[in-house]
Amino acid sequence: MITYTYVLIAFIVVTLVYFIFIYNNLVTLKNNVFKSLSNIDVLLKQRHEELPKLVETCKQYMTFEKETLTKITEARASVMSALQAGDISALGKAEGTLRKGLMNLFAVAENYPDLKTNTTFIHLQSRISMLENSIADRREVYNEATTLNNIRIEQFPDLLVAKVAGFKKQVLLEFSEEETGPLDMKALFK
Amino acid sequence: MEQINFILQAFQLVPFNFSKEFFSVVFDKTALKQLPSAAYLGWLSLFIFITLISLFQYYRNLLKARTIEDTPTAKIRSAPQGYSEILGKQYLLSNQPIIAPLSHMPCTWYAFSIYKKNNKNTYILISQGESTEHFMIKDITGECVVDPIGADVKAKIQDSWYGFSTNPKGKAKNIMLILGFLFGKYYYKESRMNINSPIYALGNFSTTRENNTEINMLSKKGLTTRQPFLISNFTPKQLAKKYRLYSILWLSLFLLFMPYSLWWLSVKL
Repeated sequence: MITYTYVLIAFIVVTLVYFIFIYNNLVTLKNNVFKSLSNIDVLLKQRHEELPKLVETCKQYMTFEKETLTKITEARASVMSALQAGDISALGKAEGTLRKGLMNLFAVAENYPDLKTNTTFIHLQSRISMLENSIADRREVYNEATTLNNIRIEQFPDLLVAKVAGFKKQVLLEFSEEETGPLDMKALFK
Repeated sequence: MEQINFILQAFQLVPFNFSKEFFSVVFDKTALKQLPSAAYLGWLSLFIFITLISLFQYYRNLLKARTIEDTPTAKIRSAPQGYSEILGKQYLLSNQPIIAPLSHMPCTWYAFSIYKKNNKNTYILISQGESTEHFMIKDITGECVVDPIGADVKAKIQDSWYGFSTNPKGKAKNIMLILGFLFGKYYYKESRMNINSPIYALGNFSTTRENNTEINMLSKKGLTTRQPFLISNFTPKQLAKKYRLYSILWLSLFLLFMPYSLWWLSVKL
């Protein structure tokens, strides 16, 4: 009888250790999501600083493309306000609009040979494209971290700890469908 | 010194050969009650030590498995500074090849151990070591230097064979392999990671700028105890499975030794 008690104590210890482990793991997962978002935040802020320079450079040459440039400026502001508000859904939508705007701008820039050869424009275009690629990569990391977190808190036995300790599902960063859909190249070169 | 003598004395007082008598004594409360205090305390300390170590190892291996499963994979060109997971292929950093000391095969990383047969026909470890040379990971977006010092490396290639000297000239083949097995005094073990093979790495990612060139580095520097530094050419899934298995083995040991330690404690209470 006494021996069974000792076995029971051992199982209680293991269960306790396991639940502490799960709790710590869920904390790590939650922090991974926040860290991934702040890694995107850094790049978004860098691009936020570069965009006005690009718009200013383009304005000097693209006198008939005011609408394109205005859209970029507005989308830039939307991205920053969504980021400051911590609204992931709004951030995804604004980011999608900005990306489409930039693609439009770079496509339209082909019609302006002077702009295309401007060294400042070339430098800014390559810098922004590089930042865009990095943002896309880090979005993938963020979404993976979010998915891992969301799966864990729905799985047993993590589910028990998540419910008791109040761990919540995180929101995926998705660019709006309209923005990720195929580009209308005809419209771009009108 | 006095403490060491005490422990040695303690262990000598209990039969160490795992005979029938040994097992009849270790599960017999009346027999154990007559055990001298030194022996009793010596064995009790050993059981408690095994209990604690097995619990610690259970936790650590589970942590490694979960960290592998729960860390998102980053691309090298945009990997954030800090704890990151990278997948790619491994290459040498320079044209200077890294040669494994026992098999003499080119590789990116190796670990080896040499054992010598003693008079009692058992093999004693006489030499061991592992590579500390940097190598490179490349993925489709960039490249990163790996400093393997302090890493828990799990290599797919594990070679072992018998031979006749402390400096074998490569892995024995055909007849020499059989002769070595029959008459060799030395036993060699070597694990390696091949150049151009896939690699999984989890560690501290940092970028430094030298002469307008960015150098990415993955190392142990700055990692906490909850952030294992892992390198392997197993897939993340296989590696996580391995650590899960280790954790289950350590857990089994804990579940055996904890009740037994408590029972042993109750003998003289």
